[in-house]
Amino acid sequence: MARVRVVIAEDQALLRQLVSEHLRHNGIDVLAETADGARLLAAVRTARPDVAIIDIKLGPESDVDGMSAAMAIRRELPEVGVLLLSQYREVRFFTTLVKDGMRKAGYLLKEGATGAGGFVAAVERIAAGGYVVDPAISALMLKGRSHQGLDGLTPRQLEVLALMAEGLNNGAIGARMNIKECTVETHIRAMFANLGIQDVPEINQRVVAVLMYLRARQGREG
Amino acid sequence: MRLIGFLSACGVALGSAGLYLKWRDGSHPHADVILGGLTGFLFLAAGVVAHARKPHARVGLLMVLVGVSLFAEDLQFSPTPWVFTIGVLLSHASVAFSAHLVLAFPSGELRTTARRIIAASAYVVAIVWPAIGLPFYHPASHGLHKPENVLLVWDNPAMVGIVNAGMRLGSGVVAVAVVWVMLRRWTRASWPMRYVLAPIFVTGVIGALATALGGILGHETRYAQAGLLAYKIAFCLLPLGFIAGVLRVRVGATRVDSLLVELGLSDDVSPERLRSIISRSLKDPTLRLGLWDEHRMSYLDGDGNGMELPADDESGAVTFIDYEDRPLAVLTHDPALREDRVRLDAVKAGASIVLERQRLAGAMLAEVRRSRVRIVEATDAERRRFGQDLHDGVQQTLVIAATHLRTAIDRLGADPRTPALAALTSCEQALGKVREELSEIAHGLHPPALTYFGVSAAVEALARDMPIAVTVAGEDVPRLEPIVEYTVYMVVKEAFANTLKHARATEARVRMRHSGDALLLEVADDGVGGASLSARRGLLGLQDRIQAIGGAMTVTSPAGRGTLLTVALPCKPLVPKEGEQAWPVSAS
Repeated sequence: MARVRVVIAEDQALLRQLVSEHLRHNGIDVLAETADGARLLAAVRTARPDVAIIDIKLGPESDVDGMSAAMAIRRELPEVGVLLLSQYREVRFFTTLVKDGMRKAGYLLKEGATGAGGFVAAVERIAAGGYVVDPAISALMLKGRSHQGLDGLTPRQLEVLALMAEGLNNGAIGARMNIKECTVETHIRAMFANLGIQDVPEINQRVVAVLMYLRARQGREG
Repeated sequence: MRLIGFLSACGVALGSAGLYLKWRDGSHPHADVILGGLTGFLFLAAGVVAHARKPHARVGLLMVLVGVSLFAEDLQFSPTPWVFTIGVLLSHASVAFSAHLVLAFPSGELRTTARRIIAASAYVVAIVWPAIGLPFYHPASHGLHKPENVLLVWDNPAMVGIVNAGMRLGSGVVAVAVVWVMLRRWTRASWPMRYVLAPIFVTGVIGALATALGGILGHETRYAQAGLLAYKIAFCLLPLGFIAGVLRVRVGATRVDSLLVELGLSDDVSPERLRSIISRSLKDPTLRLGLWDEHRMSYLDGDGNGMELPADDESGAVTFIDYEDRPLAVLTHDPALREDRVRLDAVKAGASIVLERQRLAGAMLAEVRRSRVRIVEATDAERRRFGQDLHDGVQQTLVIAATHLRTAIDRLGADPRTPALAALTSCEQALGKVREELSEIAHGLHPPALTYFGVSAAVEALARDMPIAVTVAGEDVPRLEPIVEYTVYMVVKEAFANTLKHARATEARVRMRHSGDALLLEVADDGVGGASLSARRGLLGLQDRIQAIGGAMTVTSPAGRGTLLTVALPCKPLVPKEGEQAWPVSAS
């Protein structure tokens, strides 16, 4: 497998150094390191890395905020993965990041991310097309939801959910299942209802559903 | 002033002479002599006073002329032939001047053609017409012991009789016309105008009636004599009435002053109250008050609409109230009030003081409001900065420290019996705990959900942290001014804290509605109730903050039936500036 290529945007020099050393040490190519959002965008446009690792909040010296840069990359170059490093225990950043699909996206809290071996794995998983959510965030999102699992879903809905968990958007799910996109949407609405996740903003519903799916599967495996 | 001075000096001389002559003649009762003299002098005095008050109005001059002509009549009691002749010639002149005065009161101008014709007729009847009869008048032929008529041409009593009859008829007609004009003016006059007209109207009507009676029934009849006496008394009182009018204005001004004192003592005078007070003291129910608006550069009425100002002429009057050349207000009122300058000026002065005071108080209040908002904003900024410093500075350094620690632990090897390893692992755990606690503090000071995504996300995050079930209803609220967003966050946070601390509730509910320029927020629980602003210091602090930004809060918390917190905040959705982050604006 080809080496994973990344760029890093982090305004704290010490932390940036730490992260890049850690990644290099574990066989990942770090193409660029910067503290500035605009430079990050330029580097991403020219180098087309597998993953852009972005501090959600770049310092006041940066013209482009980390989150804005991340959203610009999602819009402009969807094939580039985005991993947000954040100090915020807040779900909306991730749900906003993946509002057009959960492929190649990640949100990790800095406190848990660096140093541990999980970080390299996370970068590799995103490069491979998957997604990563910090356990603290998924705990926040699933808080108060019963562990009833996916028993209430029809086989069709389960299939849609599994594809959704792979990171596909509605169009891709429809193509894979050989059904129309609007049919996919109908399945998804019914699935949300069956899972009881209508009490959260629309943007969060997909994420919550996927996280529930993930938890149920882990429960079965474990 | 010189003419008036000269005329009144003549009048005084003439009057003294006339009185002496009339007294010596002895043909008149003393009371009559005194009454006549008094009337004449009072007219002179009133004329001078009126002239002093309104030098440009002719009414003072007319009054003096009435006084002079009254005394001129008395010249016919002179033993000197030429003086006697002048006296006879002018024996009815006062009637003409009186008619002129009544018709021209109070401005001194004859404003309509009808009035001008009637006044002219009065002069013809009372001065020109007797002059025609004079050449035929020989007193001896009428059985009178009088001096010679120096203008006598042809002693013809019959001719004199015809002329006198004609004059009686003419004066009767003129008098009726004057009464008619006066009645018409009275019925058409506004109340302020009637106020001005009253004294002259009453005497004028009595005098005209008496003259009409005399003219129609003949001067010798009992009714005509009684009418004449009433007229003489009323006529004597006319200048007194006028002077009383002047005094009454003074009394009125004092009342205006006391009203303004009353106004000045109360802090808040509504425009309508001010209007009604001015209207009352000027006795003009049609009076309107317009307040100057700095921003719209125009006068606004009580409903805040721009005011159309009428032309300042016969049919309408406009008085501007300024303070040191700065416009404050405008009055539109009955034109008749112009006749009462003193009162109008007093009201103007008083109103300008009240309005200027109000303006200053308003400016001060606005500044206090602005500074309150600034204080709240400064507090918010300070919290935000502090929270951000914790997030971005302290926490990140802790992350780095933890990373180094981890590396150290890793390098020590995996043997858990190494004594240093146990210590370092405990240290790592403690560091983790510090980071968590710090994160919580930073989160409360500077909730990223609020800063990045607005109130809906922040409230959602707060709801998620609650250990009881919380329903958040309502659509996503757009981004608002930071001060409003932070207020919403604080309200919900405080309400949740109270719910947990005091309410023993099983569930809570948040509802937000945004409509263009206001945000309505409700936080409710199903707990024990009994909350009040006075009992919860936190709520009181919120109240201050909410009021500072022009909002309102109510707490409904009947014992045993839950607590409902309702907050209304004025706000406008924030339009993101060009190039600003557009991603977090809405979650849908």
